[in-house]
Amino acid sequence: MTKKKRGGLLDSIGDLIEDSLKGLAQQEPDQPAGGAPQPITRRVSLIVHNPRVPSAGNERLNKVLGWNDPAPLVQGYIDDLHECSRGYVTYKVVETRTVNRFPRKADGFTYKADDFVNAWRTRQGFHQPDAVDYDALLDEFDMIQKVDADKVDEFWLFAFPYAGYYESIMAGPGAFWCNAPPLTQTAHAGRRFVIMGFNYQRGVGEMLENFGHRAESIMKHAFRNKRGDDNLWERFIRHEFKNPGQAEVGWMHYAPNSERDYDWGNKRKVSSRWRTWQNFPDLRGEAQTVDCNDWGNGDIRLHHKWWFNLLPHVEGAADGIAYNWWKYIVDPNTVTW
Amino acid sequence: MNNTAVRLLILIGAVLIIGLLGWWLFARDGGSVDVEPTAGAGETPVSECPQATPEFFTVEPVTSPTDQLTQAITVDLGNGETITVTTESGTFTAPFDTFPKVITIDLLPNTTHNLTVEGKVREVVQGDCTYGGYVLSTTTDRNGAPLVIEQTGE
Repeated sequence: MTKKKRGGLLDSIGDLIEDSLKGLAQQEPDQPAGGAPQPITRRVSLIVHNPRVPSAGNERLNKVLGWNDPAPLVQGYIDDLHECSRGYVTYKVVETRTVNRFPRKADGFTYKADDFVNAWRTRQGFHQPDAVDYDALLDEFDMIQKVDADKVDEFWLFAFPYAGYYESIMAGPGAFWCNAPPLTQTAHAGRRFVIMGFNYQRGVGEMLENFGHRAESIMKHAFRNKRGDDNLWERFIRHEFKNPGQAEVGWMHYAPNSERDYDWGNKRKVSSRWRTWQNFPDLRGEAQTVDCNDWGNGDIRLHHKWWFNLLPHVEGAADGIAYNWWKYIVDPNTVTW
Repeated sequence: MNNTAVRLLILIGAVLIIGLLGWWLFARDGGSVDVEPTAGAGETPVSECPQATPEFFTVEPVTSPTDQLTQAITVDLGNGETITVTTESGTFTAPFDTFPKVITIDLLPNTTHNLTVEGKVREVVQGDCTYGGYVLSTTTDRNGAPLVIEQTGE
């Protein structure tokens, strides 16, 4: 699984030159803002860890503990992203695997169903370290083979709390931080891909938050060479708490007026330029007084949909970066090396 | 030109080329190539922590109207530490020690009670990253209905 790395200063310099040349070749040529970009479809392999519980008549774990059915969650998430991207991205589940056991942890531990149910009911006895064994998942579900065979573009893991998944993680050549350290042992894959980690105890709002943190990581990387006013991503995420008097849209945890993480229901009035992002790339316009009425009064799903709706989504490019940010978020292969 | 001079020239040339290469790679666009942390397999970058979704936090629907002078409020919270209910009749705080937690509040006669329920999430340190330690707050139940109790007298 692990690709042997070349060593030596010359090799490192060679890698740097190679990556930089790839980056230059991938840069977007400048072009004026246009209409809607060509829609894309991304193929998903859905893997649901939902074991049966012997002490509960062999019912599935989600039923035993009163948690959600993954299917409507998946559909709600697909619909929301399709809507918020103005029809740009359609996720299509091309295969579904429901797995009748718990995923193996990185240290080899695997829950037994009855033990897990007992741990949940007493909220103690959860295994530490919690992290799942990604090498085992990559192997068991032939992830790299499916990506290389051009059958799947990304993987969605679905499980219970304490499954040990990262909310998102990137694999493949040149994989970078995607709200988790990259799976560098997958550098031999033919292209980059993302493995999402969802939780069927939670709702669509939390799934969107996972996607939002993925978006934050990827856009930060896409703009990594831009400084000052050229870094539109840094401008997009400004909020009053960190940038007094300069609030724009904010990020997943902070709406323009938030005073702490997840504070989407704050009624405090602040000045924000979030509406100017509706006219991207024309960001002229005065700040307006805003509060949580604009983004759903504290509802996680409404806030996140509002935020995704403001992500730039039109044709065109400037400074080597596309005006359609969804392109990078949905397909990390489009981010320059 | 002797061998020493040739070597010196080669060395100066190499330094110049490396310098130019360094400038091209690191100084263009006025900054560094990559501000992202780098990590080998299995390593966690010390400069970046995964962002987490908030813990789950639900309040069961309340009973309203009621002629009772107390009511049990049922709250569930991921990795919970304490629960606080604030309303017209006072502030009621209890440790989150049962799952879910049932916290009994007093009600004032002939009074509308608007409840704000807060859950303090326990702080957890994982390696270089700290999670939790925040307070979640809601004025609605798990179905989105307002947490309002109308006490109609005994």
